[in-house]
Amino acid sequence: MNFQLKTDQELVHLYIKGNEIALSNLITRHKSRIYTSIYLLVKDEFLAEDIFQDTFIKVIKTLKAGRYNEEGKFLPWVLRIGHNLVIDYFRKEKRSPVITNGDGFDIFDVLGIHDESIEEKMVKQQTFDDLKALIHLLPSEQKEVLIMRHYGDLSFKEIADLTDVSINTALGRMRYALNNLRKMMVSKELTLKN
Amino acid sequence: MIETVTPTSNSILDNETDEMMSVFTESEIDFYESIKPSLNQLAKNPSSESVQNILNISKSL
Repeated sequence: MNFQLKTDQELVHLYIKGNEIALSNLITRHKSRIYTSIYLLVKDEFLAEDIFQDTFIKVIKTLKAGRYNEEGKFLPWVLRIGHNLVIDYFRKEKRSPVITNGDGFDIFDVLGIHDESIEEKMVKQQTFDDLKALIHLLPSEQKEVLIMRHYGDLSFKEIADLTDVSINTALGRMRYALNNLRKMMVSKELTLKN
Repeated sequence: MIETVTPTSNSILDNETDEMMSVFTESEIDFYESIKPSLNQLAKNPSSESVQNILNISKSL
């Protein structure tokens, strides 16, 4: 059986029937999107690993209990679970995922450091670190939409449903996210080299 | 009446409605396209240990 050719829905059905390899394929197919979406929100690899595991444990329990809603798509559903677990975490910690230099990290310090003598690889790594830092500086609702759209590959309708806002609001947040990123990059003279 | 359709290759707007297309300017879309490769390189994967834990839990349930 070639699992790679099967749709998410087909893999879900196989898994519900007891095929564990189907779950392995679903995880392999979507792990990067789901993990990155969680990681960029919590900014901590260990915490992201925990939430990633908790997300799939919920998925497994729901599927095995026969409570999966066939109408929804698998990935948006899993991302929603992960997103809710992130929110739960910040609620328990009594802090917001909005991170605007609140952790002592100053984007301006990072962007100010440019040693021209360092090797290209380090420059590239620094550039990615800078971009990541800029994303973290976005207001949480803008960061969420950018992450869900880019890493989760969700439509704006799906993002709107997931975040309980209108499509226009989701679109507006994406637009603000892009414009804010651009302004910060211009301000810091950050050029992305790929 | 003849209906005309203008295709778009902007991935940000694929499958979205005309109403959504009006929200983004060409400059905004160009900017997004320009940072996509860098955004892609920020993508990360969970550890193989995490994945194995999930699979083990699934088998145990």
